[in-house]
Amino acid sequence: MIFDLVTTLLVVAAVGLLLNGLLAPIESLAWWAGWSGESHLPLPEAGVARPAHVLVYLSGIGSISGDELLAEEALFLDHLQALLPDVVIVRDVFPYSVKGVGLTSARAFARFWQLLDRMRLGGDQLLSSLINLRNVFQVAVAADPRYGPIFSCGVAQVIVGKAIAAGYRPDGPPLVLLGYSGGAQVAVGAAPYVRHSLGGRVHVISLGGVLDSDPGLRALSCMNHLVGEHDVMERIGRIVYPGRWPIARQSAWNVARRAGVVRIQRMPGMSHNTPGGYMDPGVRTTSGEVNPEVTARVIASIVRSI
Amino acid sequence: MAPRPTRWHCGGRPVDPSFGEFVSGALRLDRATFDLVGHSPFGLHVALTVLLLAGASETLGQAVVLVLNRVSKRRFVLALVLGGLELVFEALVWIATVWLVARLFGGDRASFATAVRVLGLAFAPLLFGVLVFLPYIGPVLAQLLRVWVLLAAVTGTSVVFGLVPVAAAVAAMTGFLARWLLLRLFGQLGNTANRWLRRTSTGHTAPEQSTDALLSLGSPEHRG
Repeated sequence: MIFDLVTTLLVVAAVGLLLNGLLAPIESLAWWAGWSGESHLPLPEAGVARPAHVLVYLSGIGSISGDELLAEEALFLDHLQALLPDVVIVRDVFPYSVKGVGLTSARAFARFWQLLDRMRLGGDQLLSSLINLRNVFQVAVAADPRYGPIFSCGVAQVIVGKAIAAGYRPDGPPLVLLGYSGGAQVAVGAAPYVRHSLGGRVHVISLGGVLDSDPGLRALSCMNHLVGEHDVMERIGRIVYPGRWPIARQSAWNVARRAGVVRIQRMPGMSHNTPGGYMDPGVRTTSGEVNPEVTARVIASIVRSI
Repeated sequence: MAPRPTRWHCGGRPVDPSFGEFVSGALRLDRATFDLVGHSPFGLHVALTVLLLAGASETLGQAVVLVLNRVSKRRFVLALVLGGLELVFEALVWIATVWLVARLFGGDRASFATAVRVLGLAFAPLLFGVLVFLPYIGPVLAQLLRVWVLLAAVTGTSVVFGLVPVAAAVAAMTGFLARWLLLRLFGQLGNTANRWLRRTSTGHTAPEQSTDALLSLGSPEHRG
């Protein structure tokens, strides 16, 4: 009886996972084919201000919309903004959609995602993890050599639009893309298209990035890869993507590492998520700072050195 | 071929397995299933259905090529149908060469129709071709499915021509080689057919590459 129930649940979960995977590339492909209406965003008017830097934040896989950041992420960005008052931080890019459209925005299943969002706010972790699962598949789309260029092309348009509106100028310092977790993969994938569109340099900061050896690494002026001492997720990225293996000497990742484009920096005592994560405000280091303050300080010093 | 096995019975009389049973037997590389389909009056129907569906499934799995060419929805469906027909054609060329090679190896003199029934069913693993659509792991799955088809083809060749597995493997591989050589030899004809298929199904003469996306991003159209 119990065995049958467990078997049924496992089959349902496997079928659901498979369907989720098969549906994942459709948004990008439909966008590219022009089946989902307007596929090319007009560029906005350039912002008047000329900030020292424009930093576009690409959130982790828990993100549901560009309009709504997780509390931890918002707090971390507040710390970062306080350390970089002359930098414009763009917070409202949803990196897991080719059009940058949040899950709770104008979508066929928006009500479903809104329900999951409410459940997550109410403390339900099990069903709301479907948001993470959905976004993990979008990271797989970004890393796929067939779909990645299409997905990255669309996300790049969104990033370019936001950067220009924030006052980015190609003759100024590089555009900084700060990607957390899967957001780092999206950042690296979009980098060549962003550079092509803006005509300026792109600098990526990967915070615990779960990254493939993406050809986009070749388009970067530099990438700082921050890795927590106890970050299991980042380690998984090193295992599942063969291009990250040391044996793949000619992979984009290993070539970029040897060329000094990828610079790895350890974050002592930090893990990927709460508890103990890069943005966990509940953990205080020996220096008296909480984790998001330490992470913000490290990133701020990188941005100032660009 | 060996006398027909009678594993399935109904009221004391042997009956043909269903389409699903044929397919699942082929997926398990079950020799009895390959033997049954060779004798079944519906064998040809089963084999051609498998080939058509497998071709459509594989085309659906590789739909990114169609989408890169920005085909309309109508042409997309047409491409799936033509994908099925393309696999039928490819399989028939391969089966014909295996049929000829197996005779050279001294295999049983099975009819060409029997060979089509058995070896057509060997393409059953490609019914999962749609899974190639999965992001990131899709290309790896495509390779695994091809290996699975090869194993099924060796089993089918062994059954239909009564060859030992090693000789069947050589015949099957020679069949693939001969098919490749034939296509090279008649390459111009093949290219013309390919261009016609592509033009008919996608409206384009040459397939667009995914990296073209990078070039078009900088175009005035994309700049808004």
